[in-house]
Amino acid sequence: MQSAISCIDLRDVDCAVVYPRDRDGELLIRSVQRIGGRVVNIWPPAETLEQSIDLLFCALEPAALTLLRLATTRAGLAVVGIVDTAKNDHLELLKIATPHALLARPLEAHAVPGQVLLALNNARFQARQQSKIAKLEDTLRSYRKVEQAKAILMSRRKIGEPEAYGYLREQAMRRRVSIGVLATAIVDASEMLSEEQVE
Amino acid sequence: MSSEPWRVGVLFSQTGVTAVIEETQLRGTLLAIEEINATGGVNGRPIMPIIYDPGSDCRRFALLADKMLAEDGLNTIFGCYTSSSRKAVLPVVERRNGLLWYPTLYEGFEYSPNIIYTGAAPNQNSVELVDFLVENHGPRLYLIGSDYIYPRESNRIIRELLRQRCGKVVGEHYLDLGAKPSEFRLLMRDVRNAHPDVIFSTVVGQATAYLYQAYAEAGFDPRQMPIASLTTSEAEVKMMGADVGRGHITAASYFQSVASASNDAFVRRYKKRFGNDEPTNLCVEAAYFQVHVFAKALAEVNTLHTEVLRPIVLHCEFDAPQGHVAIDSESSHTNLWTRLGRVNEHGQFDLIRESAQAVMPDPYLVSH
Repeated sequence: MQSAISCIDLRDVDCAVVYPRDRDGELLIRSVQRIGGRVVNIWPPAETLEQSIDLLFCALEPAALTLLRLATTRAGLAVVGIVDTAKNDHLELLKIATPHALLARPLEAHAVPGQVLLALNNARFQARQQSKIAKLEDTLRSYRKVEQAKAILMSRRKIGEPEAYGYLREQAMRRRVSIGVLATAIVDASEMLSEEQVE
Repeated sequence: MSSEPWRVGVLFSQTGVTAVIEETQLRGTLLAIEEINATGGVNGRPIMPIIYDPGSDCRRFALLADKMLAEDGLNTIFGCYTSSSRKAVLPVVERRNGLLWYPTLYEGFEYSPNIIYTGAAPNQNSVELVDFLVENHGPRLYLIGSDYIYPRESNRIIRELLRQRCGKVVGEHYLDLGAKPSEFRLLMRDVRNAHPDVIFSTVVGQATAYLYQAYAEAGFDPRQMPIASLTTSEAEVKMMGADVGRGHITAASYFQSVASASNDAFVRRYKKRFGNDEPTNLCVEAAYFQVHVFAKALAEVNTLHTEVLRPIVLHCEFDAPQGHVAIDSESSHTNLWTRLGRVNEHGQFDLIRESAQAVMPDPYLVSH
């Protein structure tokens, strides 16, 4: 069995700690450094975040909400929220911020690695699923383009459906592009040509 | 430099209804691993297979895959035959970012960034087969399948392809994976009444033999009304007997009878290792070449981490027994050869048609 710490490798991870530099802030920075990550400290919360950041620790406070919202739109960025359960609005803030993992104040050093692992795993899984969905949506779009390209070929060349499909397949193979790319080119070219005729 | 073995998971059933064909995939996997280890392994490290028997049970497939990735510290799994087992393992490898190598033809319409598909998609076998059947035997098909995902999905595609060719489905029946010979005998009466030009079989496992035997007992003639299939390989023909299988048609990327030096050598090594009366088949071959593709990619990156290994895999090519193949980076599927064969008196396939080169996979049939 590997030790808990060696499961996490932060050597290639850029980390931002958006937290006041008090006792808890210092503890966070030291914990991340101990597992090999590079850390920058930001306080008060900025409204933007460097592209290179992979792991964000952020206080769940109203002042940080803009940053937290921005973070949810960036695929692969792992977010660990730091919550003050003594405050009444902490559940409300959690709902809005949707971090991948959570630490509660006062922080304890031994709790940090586990939440880092959780946040990285969750963020990476979400990113993989998102890229899978993007790919599938791409396939759906190329379906539509192929149908359009097929219709164009059938009417221009006075050929049937199987021949139109055959032509698309053969040309795509020959040019070493996907059918979707070829179909898009045909549809675009056809639109351009018919616009020229109108002019 | 480390000499620790590369540990990989191997997940094929050695018991249960699809054990006969899955065991051939296990053998293909082991043969390739032994070949690689005999020449010094990958970057000086041998490949060590961790083998479990899921017993043809989808839940066990998912549980064992999870155990491999979560507890055994593995990243790569070679495995799965049925589509239901692959569908059970898919969420597991996606969640844990593993890489499943799936060496079986299937019904297409799937993409996972965590699966490398090395068996045929429908455009690589079904399309050519339906063309051939309609041209040479007639447009009336009777569909018989085992009752699970693959046969039903595959037949949905066959129906569509038939419609484009003005063909017709004149019967459609699904029998349990564990169906008895008597159920197939009964079904032959309905076939006789329906007068199809072709029986299209998506029956898999042990029941395959029962279908062809019931057909022979009913006195049908394969020259008049052949059984066509994507899954009846040399292994199933051996189960039913060459006299029973003779004259029937299968579409596959690979037959043992493929004439090439690399296939001759492959068949010779396989028989030497597993016995002279053990034929190779499409599933053995895919299981075999995918391990070599894996080893090639692994040699380049020297790590099993999926996010590092996969991009290299997606550009791998290999001289497989079926011919030159390449992983398609768009779809995670494989450029494979299309072949049609007819069973001869030796239980081998005589080639009817063959593509001029490997055919690009089109798992969503975007271009059909």
